[in-house]
Amino acid sequence: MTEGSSPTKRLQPQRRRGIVALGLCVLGIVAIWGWVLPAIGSLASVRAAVQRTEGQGINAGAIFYTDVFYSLELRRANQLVDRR
Amino acid sequence: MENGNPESDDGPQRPTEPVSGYEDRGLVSEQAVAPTPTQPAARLTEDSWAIVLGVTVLVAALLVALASGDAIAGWFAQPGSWDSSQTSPLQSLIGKGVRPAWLGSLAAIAVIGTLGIPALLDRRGGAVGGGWVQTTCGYLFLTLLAVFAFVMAGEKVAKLYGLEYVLWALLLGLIISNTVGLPQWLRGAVRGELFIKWGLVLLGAEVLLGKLVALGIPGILVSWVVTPIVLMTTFWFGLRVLKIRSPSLVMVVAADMSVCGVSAAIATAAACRAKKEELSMAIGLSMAFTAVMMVVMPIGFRFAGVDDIVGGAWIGGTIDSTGAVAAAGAALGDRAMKIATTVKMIQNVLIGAIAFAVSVYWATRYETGDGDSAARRGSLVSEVWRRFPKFVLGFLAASLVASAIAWSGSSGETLVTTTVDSVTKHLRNWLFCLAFVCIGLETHIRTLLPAFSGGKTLVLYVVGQSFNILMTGLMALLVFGWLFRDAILEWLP
Repeated sequence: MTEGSSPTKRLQPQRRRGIVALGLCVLGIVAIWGWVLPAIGSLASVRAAVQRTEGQGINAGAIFYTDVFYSLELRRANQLVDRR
Repeated sequence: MENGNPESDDGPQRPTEPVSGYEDRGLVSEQAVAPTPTQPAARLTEDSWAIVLGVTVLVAALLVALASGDAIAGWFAQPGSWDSSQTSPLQSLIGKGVRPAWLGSLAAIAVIGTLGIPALLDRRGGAVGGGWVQTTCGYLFLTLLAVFAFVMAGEKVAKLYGLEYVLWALLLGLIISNTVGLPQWLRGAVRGELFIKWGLVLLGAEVLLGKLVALGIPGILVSWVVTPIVLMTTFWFGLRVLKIRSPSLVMVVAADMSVCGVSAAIATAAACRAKKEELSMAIGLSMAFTAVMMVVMPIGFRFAGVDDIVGGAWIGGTIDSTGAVAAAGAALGDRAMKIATTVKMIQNVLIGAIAFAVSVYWATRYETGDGDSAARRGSLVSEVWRRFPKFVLGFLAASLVASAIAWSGSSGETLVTTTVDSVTKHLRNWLFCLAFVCIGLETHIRTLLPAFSGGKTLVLYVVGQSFNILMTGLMALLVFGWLFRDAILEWLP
């Protein structure tokens, strides 16, 4: 990362391009999570699928069997409240 | 990986000298890397740090769970799910548990930081990234990226298709490293391999051997007979037929596809010291195919009139990702979901045996060096021991101890379940997320192309998965559709 004066001058446009590219990527992420996914999520078929998996407490993004039922803690907490 | 050498037709290339050619490996063990003259040697090896940190967390979590019981629920968490069409991402940080997710996340970040920063400072030997302040700032920046990854994965549509946080963690890291580059001040905290090994030792406590008998012989036949056959056949096919030059790439793809997706890929990659690009490639392929298979398989089974019990076992044995198995099984019905998740759970338990077998196989076959160098260093056994990734022992010990406690009775099983559900699985998720942020930050897009092997990796995955679907389907029909059908029907509610 320590650069001399002439390599620094050469790298500056590259660095600017990097910052612009980073900004575009951030905009892309905001657009996908801010507009595209909400639009997909409001489709009736997708909404029904989300409700079905949520209703069964399934975490489709689980990487191990101990993660599968994501509402386990919630269920436990409710049981605890009921007991009290 | 390829080192610019022309591809040879005489099978996989083996490193003849243990050190050379492995220095740049993302998941390399430190035994293979000699300290440079300017870099002081670390006091503890990375594997030792992973074991010490993992065991410390496990023992403390077991003691706290023993003392407090259910009250420990919600102490640790990660950002949860949110609906982008109805709520803001902040809902992800609030969560649905008894305590807000942001509080549990802060607790997890604090515990990992308090224990992990000394290890980060020790591992880099003071040569990279400044002192405590810079390493702590670097660590906090990594956790910020990890929070973003969890929030991105928690969006309900992304979650529905099983697009896990590891994918977004990797993507965020890749975006930074391929645009503005990895900042110097961050380098001291970017130790993906330490986070992975530490997370794997914690994962060991979730591998309960007693779960093997959950479905008895039918589950074992589908999970423990078909899976190793598919794994070994795919490994052989990749090396001998496709002639892919990197055995570790072939092994990670084979394990990822035949065992249980991301978790198996992480464990196997660490066991065979695969490059970080190879792990990224295997996980990317797996997630892309999982998202398709979890939608197509239940529809296909309904269309073809496949019985829900056979279909559940078939889904459980073939779809890579554990969460996607539950979702696809549920799409086929409640009985199918129960069978699918149980088959997958038995397959999940297999990763302990697979990681150990791969470690031993690699230490004896790929990491020993040539005969002369082995002889110079002493006996083959001591050389194999020197090369063996020691963190695997921590992983196995955690599994054996947790299994023994769970086996001791219902109170023991409750203790282990509480420990895992309330503490260790959350910390493990954070560690894996941090690891994949680090892997992304250390990876350039250019270096991913060799891991694609000119399309051979894709062919390997497709052929291996097709064989997996065929073998699992035949075994599911035989075992769940015929031999043990009555017993299974009795077992189901």
